[in-house]
This record gives sequence, structure tokens and C-alpha cells, in this order.
Amino acid sequence: MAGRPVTMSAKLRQALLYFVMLAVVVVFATPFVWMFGSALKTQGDIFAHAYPLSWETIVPSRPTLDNFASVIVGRGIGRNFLNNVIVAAAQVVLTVAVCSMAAYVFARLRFRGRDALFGLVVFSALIPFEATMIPLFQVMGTLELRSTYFALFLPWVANPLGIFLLRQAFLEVPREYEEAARVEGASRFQVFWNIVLPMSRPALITLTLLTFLWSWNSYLWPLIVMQDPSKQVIQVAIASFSAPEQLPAWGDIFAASALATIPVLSVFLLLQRYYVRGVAMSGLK
Amino acid sequence: MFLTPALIGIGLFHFLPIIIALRGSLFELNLLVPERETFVGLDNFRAIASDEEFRQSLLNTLVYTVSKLGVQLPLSFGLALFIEARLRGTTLLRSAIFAPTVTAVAIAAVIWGLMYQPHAGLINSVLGAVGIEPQSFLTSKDQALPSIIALGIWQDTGLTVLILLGGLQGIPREFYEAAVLDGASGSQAVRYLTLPLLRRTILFAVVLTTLLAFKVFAEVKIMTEGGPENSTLMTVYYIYKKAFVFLDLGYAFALAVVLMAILVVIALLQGRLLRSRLEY
Repeated sequence: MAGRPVTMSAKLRQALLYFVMLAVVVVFATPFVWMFGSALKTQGDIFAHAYPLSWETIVPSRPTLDNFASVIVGRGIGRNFLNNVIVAAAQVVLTVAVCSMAAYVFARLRFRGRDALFGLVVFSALIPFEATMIPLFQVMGTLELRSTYFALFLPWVANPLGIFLLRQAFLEVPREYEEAARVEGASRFQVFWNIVLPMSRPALITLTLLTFLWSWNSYLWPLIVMQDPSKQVIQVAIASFSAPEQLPAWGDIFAASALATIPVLSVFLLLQRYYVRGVAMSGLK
Repeated sequence: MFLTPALIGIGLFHFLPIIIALRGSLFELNLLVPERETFVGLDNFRAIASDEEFRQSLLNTLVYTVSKLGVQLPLSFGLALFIEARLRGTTLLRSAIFAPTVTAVAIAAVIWGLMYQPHAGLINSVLGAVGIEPQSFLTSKDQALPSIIALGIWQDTGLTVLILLGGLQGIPREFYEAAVLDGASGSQAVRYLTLPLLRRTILFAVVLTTLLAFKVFAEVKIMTEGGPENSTLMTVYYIYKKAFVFLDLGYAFALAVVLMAILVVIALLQGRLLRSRLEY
């Protein structure tokens, strides 16, 4: 008998806990649901159902793809989407290539000044881009790279954090494998390519994922350095047609934002495990 | 050699800008004619010391950091405990709170900007349903910064949850078993065991949140442009405005140098914490 009130209150507490957690899920998911839901409504329906609150405020009662047609045909957002793809692809491939080679040198080769060089790499990771964006803009001017695709990805290819992350992974590869291969006549590059890289797959996937997210989601740097609208990324394009002085084209804004968000959400859901790992290691999103 | 591309990249795009900023901060420069420069010594820094707007941006950053932490840390701690307990529904919860962290902050700012709209915005619709009259949010001097903070909490809670989860998973299970054997209740275990052991992890989350506060830009640019009356003016947006709106390049360089100094101190603190996180 004595145990009964305890289980009751425990059940009640659990129910309360679940209620709070459900509320958190609703609050966190609402902006996404509203965005995707409204993207499928006509502009008229968006405003007609905005107030008072009903289920139609969130869920489209007469779903349509008109907004998507409008942003793709009318505003050429497909072009901006493609720019994101081009820049992200180049940035991911080059970052992984450059960082893995450098990380291998720092993890395995011995030469004078190596630790000092690695110290410089670590130091450069301490200064975030936000503090150097203006002089970096000058550098891009001197190199005559402003308003080119190169300006959007080249500065981030030698990523100190990527070097750091991969060096950590390479250090965990047992040396015995490499030494055995060297004894059998494999070159340094063969060892790197055939043994070290395949054994560090999780770290490589993590860096690929993080680089993709950084690249795809960038806003401030493209805003500064890219003055050619046809090469501009989708975030800046959306922000410019949702600016206060523009006509309120909510349907277009929702559809374009949905388009910009679908790739990152799907990649994230697919590779959630690696994302968690990367954030835990680097402390960065 | 293997190292060359990385060294060229880091030299050209990380160290060269630092040097340019250090040198340029001593000059008076216009963005459109950067070759015409006048040496002014430390004048830019003297001006910064008495720059009301810059001080306002630092104050806003402080308010932003402290209020965000006040909500986000307890929330993240509760969520991390819930996720760590692996009850049913955890997967859904995880996806819901992590999804905002991978969404572009610019897109989030655009969508939240619409949610905050006084007339057709979702938040006023919800408030209306419970009988609260429409608020002006982003155009109100008192509500604009809290509105931006709310967006920040929505975006970054997943991040602090991840960090706290990392800390929780580092606590050996035997500690809890010992506590239960000694007759501790669940809440006692959290208070006297989990919280003290997580001190470093929590400190790390605090430092990271501060660092992120100094980087806030897109929200301000897209939602408020620093207004009303500089109530949402943040440091990076102020630097951006000085350089690209007022074209005052020398002054922007000097501001960048000051920001660099602040961020290096914070990052060094972060580095120390990161290295010593797993020790008990």
C-alpha cells in the first residue's frame, strides 16, 4: 500500500515531463512547419489565414507549387541554388584535399620547425573570420578575385580546424600498418592514400559534412565579396528580396527559403551521427 | 610538398589580413580609394575609446550573451538529461532541436522576421489566440533585442545540448550507482553529482556562447539593421557599417583589431577548457 502513492506521483511526473518535452518539440519545429506549410500556399491564403490563429495558419488547405514556380521562373532562384552547389562542391573537395595532406605531415613527418608551424595553424584558428573580413576583402581585391566563385570558397580551403580534426584522426591510425607497407616498398603517398585515409573515414566524413554546412549556409562573406548577382548565393538573394523596402512577397520568400533549407536538413538527417561528433570535437557549428 | 597549399592558404587568407588590419588601423583610409592613405598614429583607437555607438554595441553583446545564457543553459541541461535518459521520443526531440543549428542563420532571420511581423506574423496570431494584443517586436526599442535573442536561443540550444551531452557521457556510470546505493534521489544525484562534475563543460558552453554573441551579424542586418535607436547594434554589424556604408576603412580596421583582441582572449580561454574538459 505504501508504494502506491509513489508510483502515482512518478507517473504524473513522467507525464508532466513528456508534456514539457512535447512543448519544446512543437516550439522548435514550428518555424520549419510554418515555412514549409506557407511555401505551399498562395500569397492570398497566407494572409487570409494569418489571423485569427487556426490550423490553416500553419497547414495549407489548398496546397500549390505556384510559389516555387514563381521564384524559379520569376526570380531565377535556381541560378542562386546552383551557385551554392558549385561553391560548396569546390570548397568541400579542396578543403578535404588540402587539410588531409597538411594533417598527415603534422601527424607523421618529423622536421625542424614542425611544431612551430603547427602552433601558427592553431593560432590562426583562434581569430574568427568576422574579425578579419574587411582586410580579407582588401586581399581579394589585390588578387583581383572579387565577384568570382574563387572568392567565395578559396579563403576557407586551408581550414585550421580541419587540419586539427584530421591530424587527431591520423594520430590514431596504428603506425605498424604504415611501417609494414613502407618495408614492402610503398611510397609515402601510397601509404597516405591506401592506409591512412581509408582508416580515417569517420573524420573525413565529419569534415566533409561540416565544410558543406559552413559553405552552404554562408551569408556575410558572399554579401561583402560578391557583387555579381548572377553568381550570388541563395541566402543573400533571399535576404535581398525580403528586405523592408521590397514589396512583401511572402509566398516567394517561403518557397525560396524552403529550397535553401531542404539540402542542409536532408544531409543533416542522413549524417546526424557525424555532425554530433564534429560539434563535440570542434565546439563549432 | 604536402604542406605547401595549406601554408599558402593560411598565410594569405589568415595571417596577411591580420597584418593588413594592424597596419591599416594606424591610417585614415577610404574604402573606394585605399591607395590614398594618411598616417594618423593611434587616433583611430583614441576615437574608439570614446565611441558611444561602439560602447553600445559591446553593451548589447553583453546583454545578448547574459540573457541568452540565462534561458539557454537551463533549457539545454534539462534537454540533455532527458536525451541521456533515452526515454521514448528522444529521436524526435533530438531532430527538432538540432535542425535549427544546421539551418542558415540568414534564412532563420528571414523566417523569424516574418514571424515577428505585427500584422500577419505567426507570433501575434498565437498571442491573439490567448487574448494578448499584437506586439510590435522588431520595431520596438524594448522588444527588438529580446526578439533577436529568442531567435539565437532557438538556433543554438542544440549546440549547447550537444556539448552538455558530451560532458554527461564522460561521467562514469559507477558514480551514479554509488549515489543510488547511498540512498540519493534522482534530483539529489543531479544536484550534487552531475552539476559539479559538469562544471568545466558548462563553463565551456558559456565561453562558446559568448564567442558566438560577438559574431552575430545576419540577424541584425536582416531583421533590424541595428535599430531601433541602436538597441540591436552588435559589434560585427557596426564594423560592417563603418567599412561598407561610411567607407571609413581605417576606422573599421582599428575596430577589427579591437575585436580580434577580445576574441583571442575568449578563444584562448576556450582552448584551455577544451583541453582540460575530460579531467575530473
